[in-house]
Amino acid sequence: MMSKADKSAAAGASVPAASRARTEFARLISYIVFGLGSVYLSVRASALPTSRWEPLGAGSFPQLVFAVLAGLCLIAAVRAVIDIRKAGQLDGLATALSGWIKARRISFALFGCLVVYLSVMPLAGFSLATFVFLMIAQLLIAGLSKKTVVQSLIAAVIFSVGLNMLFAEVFNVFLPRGVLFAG
Amino acid sequence: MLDAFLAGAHQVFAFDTLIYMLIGSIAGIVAAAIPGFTVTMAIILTLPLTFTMDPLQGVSVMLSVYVGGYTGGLISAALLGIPGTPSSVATTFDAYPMARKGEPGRALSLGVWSSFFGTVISTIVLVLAAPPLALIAVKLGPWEYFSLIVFALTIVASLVGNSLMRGLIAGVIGLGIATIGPDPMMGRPRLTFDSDILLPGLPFLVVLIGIFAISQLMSEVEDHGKKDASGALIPDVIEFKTWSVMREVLMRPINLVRSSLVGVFIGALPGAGGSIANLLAYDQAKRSSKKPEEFGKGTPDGVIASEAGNSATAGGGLIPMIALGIPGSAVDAILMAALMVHGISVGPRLIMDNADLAYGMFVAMVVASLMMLVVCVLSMRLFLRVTDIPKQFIVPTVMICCVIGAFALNNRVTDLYLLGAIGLVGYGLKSLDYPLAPLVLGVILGPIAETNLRRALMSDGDWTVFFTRPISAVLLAAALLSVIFSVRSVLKMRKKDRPTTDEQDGD
Amino acid sequence: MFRKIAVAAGLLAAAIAGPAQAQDYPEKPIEFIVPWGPGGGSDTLMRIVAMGLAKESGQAVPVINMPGVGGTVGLAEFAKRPADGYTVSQVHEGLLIANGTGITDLNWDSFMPIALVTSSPQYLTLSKNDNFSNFEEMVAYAKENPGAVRAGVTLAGVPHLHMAMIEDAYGIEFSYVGYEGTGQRIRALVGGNIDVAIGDVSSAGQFVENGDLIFAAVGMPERTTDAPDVPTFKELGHDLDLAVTRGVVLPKDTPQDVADALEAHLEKVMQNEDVRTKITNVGSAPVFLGQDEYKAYLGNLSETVDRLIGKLAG
Repeated sequence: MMSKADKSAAAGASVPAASRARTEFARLISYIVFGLGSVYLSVRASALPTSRWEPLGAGSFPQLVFAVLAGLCLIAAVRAVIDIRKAGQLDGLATALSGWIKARRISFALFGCLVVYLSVMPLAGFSLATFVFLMIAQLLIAGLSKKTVVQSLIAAVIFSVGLNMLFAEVFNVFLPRGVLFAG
Repeated sequence: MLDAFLAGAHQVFAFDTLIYMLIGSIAGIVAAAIPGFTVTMAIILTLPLTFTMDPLQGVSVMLSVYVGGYTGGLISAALLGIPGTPSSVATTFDAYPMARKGEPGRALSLGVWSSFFGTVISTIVLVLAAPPLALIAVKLGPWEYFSLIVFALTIVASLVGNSLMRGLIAGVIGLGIATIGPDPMMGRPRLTFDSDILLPGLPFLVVLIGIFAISQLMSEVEDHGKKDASGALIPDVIEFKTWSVMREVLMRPINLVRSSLVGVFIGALPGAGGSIANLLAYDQAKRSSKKPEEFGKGTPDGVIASEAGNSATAGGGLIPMIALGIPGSAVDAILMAALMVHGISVGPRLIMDNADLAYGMFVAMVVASLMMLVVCVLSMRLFLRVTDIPKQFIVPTVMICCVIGAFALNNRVTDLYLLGAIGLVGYGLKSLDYPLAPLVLGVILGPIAETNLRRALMSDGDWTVFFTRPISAVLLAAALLSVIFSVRSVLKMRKKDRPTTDEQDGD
Repeated sequence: MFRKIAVAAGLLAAAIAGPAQAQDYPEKPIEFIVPWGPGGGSDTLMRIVAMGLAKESGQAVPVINMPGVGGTVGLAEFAKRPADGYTVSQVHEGLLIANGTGITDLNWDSFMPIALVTSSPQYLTLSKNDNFSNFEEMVAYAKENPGAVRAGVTLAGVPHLHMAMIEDAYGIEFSYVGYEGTGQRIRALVGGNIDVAIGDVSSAGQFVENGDLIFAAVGMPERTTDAPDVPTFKELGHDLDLAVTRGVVLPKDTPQDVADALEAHLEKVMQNEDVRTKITNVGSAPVFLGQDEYKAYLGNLSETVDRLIGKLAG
């Protein structure tokens, strides 16, 4: 399937070819990461103890699965390398990467907030952590202005303290409580 | 029999029961519509309330939550592109593109009607054929289950999107992810690297939310230089055309009935469930369609198949429960527990000993599906308001709901760290144009395949049993045919569309 | 690191809460951690007990399901909770076995046993087959054909222990097939995919009544009222106690007066007719053993598990 790429690229301009080669390069990296990871996991799985109750032990199935994954990644990687060499224009990687990240800066910032949010939750408790997360995330997306601050504040209060109360009082589901703030 | 039927109907049609059922229906729809919240969770929350009700009343309320829940997942699948429940993964394939093309009202209406007809068809099958179907289901041994899963795995080919290779890789990654955690046979940890986070394994729901919801939310806020004036996710005028859509659904009787029967069958198998039925029905519709290339781009057939398929598992799951007292899913197990607390023993004699209850449940199923229909049709405009809410609110708050859903599943804080990690991986895979549905399919099917393979070999060390038991052999043959069919259609598509279907660039 | 935070959280919360006063206990909701998923035996029974406790104590007793790794994940979390009597949990035979097979370091003495509340009698259940139709025939057949009788168990779980006890007592040998949970085993038994399994009245009773399955023996000191025709193991030559017994525990180092107060509440709960009926309805028996008796009971049980654990380790 990927061999189609170079055919149309040959007909078209060189810019899409270069972009395709770069995309393919990024995928190549993912094949290599998954491939190496699965080889490692397959080896780890083969070391799992077998059991006297059954012919297949705990390790057999994961070992098989990860071996198949490693094989698939190898084939995909080889095909990607061939594609990249045919396209032959693997330049501007750094610019492309920075452009790629730039377009997704808010996505990554949002994810960063999520990570911080999840890791402080056991400390700060659901309500407080959620409130701060919602404020930051909303302003991150909407930009800073008087109107957005007020709107975000309302939404943040409803979805942090409000949700927590709803779950605790009505459903008896207790969202994580914190050390600093028990709510 | 008529007496029992009337007695059951009489109880269901009591005023307070109907009111409770209406509340249950709304609760089920809303819970399922929120990504991260599931039907099972909604049922657990209603369980303590039903302890104080009459048995049939309690079960009727739970059934209306159940039926509503199978439909609610459609709403976020169509409007946000995030499956609201595990059973609406395939619904995103066509309902979301349809909504994005400016027809969110049609996508919702199609899904609601298909769900309604799916539930009704499954209830009819339940009434007519529960005992024989349940007997078949119970006779299936580990060999048949394993072969069935092998067959189900071949539907990956229908879900691969632009590249078969990446689809296969995603599917096998899913199988691999599911092996982490306690070994399903002995409970001993494997591939957990002594980490508290990995020790309990990666719960399916957490993987689903991370892979679909977190990655989808992250890509909603990408900035490609095109400024969207309204900031809303779907900027368009909305038309429902409720009645013409009903005709549209009924004009596709083969798809509707086939998808519903797939749902009933999968639902009747203990251990399988709505998520498999949803994908399998979609796959079958795509394969038998004359225009398979339209699937994934917003075809009504895709919406009908996926929604009829998952809703029909509601009736299907009750088949082994009512006929034999064997729960078909976690939800059915909770239903059974609720009955038993009231002193009703659930087993093969339920229909004989408590006929009014059994028939009352059939009536309740139909009433619940009607209620779901009415609630959905009346409130659809309200749901569509979701699309008017600016991204700045919807993205973070949906994320919070995902976090709550992932936590409330097992009340484990460590699941939240998994959610974050899986979300990032999902986003990466999505950016590199890996299809995500095969991965989820792998996570669902992997453990069932492994457990049954090992169980089969413990029951009988002989490998050939897989080929000598007739049902198992038929399923394996079907799997082989399915692979051949897929390879052929991939080759054909490639030849036909060579110059045009270029792979999409991940820019 | 997270564990440290959690421990710190516990200490701090305990410090804020101050020493609990037994006469006021409970003065706020008690969280009941059930280390198993919803819909199962532990969940259903403990919800009934929790409901009774809520009525008795006047405080809400929300049930929180924390399933995972044979009940050990929830108990590990429970062990980190403040020892103030406002978080309670449940243990059964499974914990002792999980400890014996090395899945967890926790054991029954990692907690403070308060009261044994339910006991579910377990029956050796046979599928309908050509080779045997009662206990003696099964033993005779198994002796002639070692390993030919397929037993469905949760490997390294309570049913496995029960089967090992039967093997040990009657000198026979099963071959094992792993299933998760009683429901799955009974299904396989009805479908004829296994020959024997441990079952109970709630999951297998109607199949026995219907003639699809046979209760061969019950692991109680006396015949049960649910199935009065089924002989006990004692009548069959060996006094085996096969029951799943569930008890309420508190975190270790809970103040003794709080423990006593909870014990007193539970004793009243177990006398409540509604609670007793509901427990009987789901195929178990309401019982009550207070702190000392329950500890002694668990100590005895622990010896049995230790003796047979070698037969379970894979």
